[in-house]
Amino acid sequence: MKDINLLHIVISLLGIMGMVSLNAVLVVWLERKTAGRMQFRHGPMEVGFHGILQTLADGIKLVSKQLVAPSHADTALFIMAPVVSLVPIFVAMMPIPFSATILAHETDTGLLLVIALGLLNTLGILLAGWGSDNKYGLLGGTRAVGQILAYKIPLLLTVLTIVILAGSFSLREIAMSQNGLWNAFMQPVAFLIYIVCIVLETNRSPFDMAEAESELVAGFHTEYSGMAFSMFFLAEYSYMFVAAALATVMFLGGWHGPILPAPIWFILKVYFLLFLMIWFRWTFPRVRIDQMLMMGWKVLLPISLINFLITAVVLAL
Amino acid sequence: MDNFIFKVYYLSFAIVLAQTVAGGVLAVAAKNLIHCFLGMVVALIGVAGLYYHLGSPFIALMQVMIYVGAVCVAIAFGLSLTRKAGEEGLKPLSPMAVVPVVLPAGMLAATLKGLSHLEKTGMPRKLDESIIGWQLLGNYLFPFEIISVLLTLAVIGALSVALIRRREKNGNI
Repeated sequence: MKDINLLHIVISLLGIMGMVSLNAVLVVWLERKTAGRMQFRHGPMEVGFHGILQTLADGIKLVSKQLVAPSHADTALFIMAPVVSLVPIFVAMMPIPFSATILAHETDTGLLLVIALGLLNTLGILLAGWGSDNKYGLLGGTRAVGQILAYKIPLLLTVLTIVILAGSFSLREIAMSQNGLWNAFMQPVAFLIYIVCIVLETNRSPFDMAEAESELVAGFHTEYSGMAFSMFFLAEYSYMFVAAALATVMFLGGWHGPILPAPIWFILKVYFLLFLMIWFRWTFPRVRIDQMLMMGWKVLLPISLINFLITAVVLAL
Repeated sequence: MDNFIFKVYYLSFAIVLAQTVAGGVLAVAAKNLIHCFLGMVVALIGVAGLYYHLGSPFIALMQVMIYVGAVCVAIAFGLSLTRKAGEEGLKPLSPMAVVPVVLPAGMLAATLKGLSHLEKTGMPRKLDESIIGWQLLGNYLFPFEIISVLLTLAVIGALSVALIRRREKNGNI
């Protein structure tokens, strides 16, 4: 407790807020460009160089819009939901190590911190669904909860596998332990399961059951407009960043890499994973909710359990 | 400087305490079922904050992960399977409901008063996580195993209940 320095925390929180906004601007642009190229069109081209400022323009438009709450909505929940969804991100980003020295807050339990706070996103989606008095919203929120219940256990089991390999919950030490061989090569099964789980966790297509435009209009954020809507988006892209950063630390060796300086390697790996997630979205059609739950409970859970057991036995021998 | 840190600590402890109590009151007193649920979430996060202030961030994070992330989400799932949750509202509280509010409030006031001597006692020491592990798998191995068996039994029980229901519905599996 004694090493907590208030000024340090304030500065790093400000840095993280800047990082969250910058990341959203970049990833939205990347997403629209990738989508465009994959569909033989250009994507945004007008604002700035190849449309790089398009997201900023959209953001200004969204801020200037009015937030309209449905007349029968539960106003407290309706307004609280986007905040609940976004705020945990700021804390969850604190223990992420961009290099051996660049991290906002070193803690022994960094991995737990990120995963525990990452779960609160679901709560925001759920509150949004319940608060907005809309059947599509309610269905979206319920689906979000169902899929989290199904995929949380495989996710935690793969994370545990990495933890027993590295012998630590500290993100920095997990990354340091992979100086030679990356965990992605030692634990390919865990890596694949983790990738599936984070695509699901961050509500991305092909698992975006909570939004599902073709079935639920816009799912949990059907009734949201203006800044509240953009907060959901900010939260989604920030959770993508956090999940990809966690994957980089746990499986891709963190900041390790030849020639280039450490933080650049880290950012490159993170954005490669983000690009992968965007690629998935524009390549795979959306699965049905029953297929998705079936895969979670009947395929991923047993595989991750067996993988965990084998790793534990091999380590013990 | 130390004095300032003690003050900040005291203040944030008080805020977390107030949050826990407020969440608990909301969970019991709210008319709308969803608001009760929300109150429970707020109270559980507050309890995690208390653990953190008492020098055990590990247990605090476990509290958030298990109670807020898993138990509450499971309860929410249960709620959403019922009729439109919170439509009807609950019964109004009896005056006796004041008792469980006043009691913890008094206890919390006593805790805060005890904490006001931080300059003398110093901050709570941070508990090393590895000690928890050694104790659980050493001194307390037997209770630990009994709890695991209990949880396994609960899973088997849930499975068998579900299977019986399905058999009654379909005739056979």
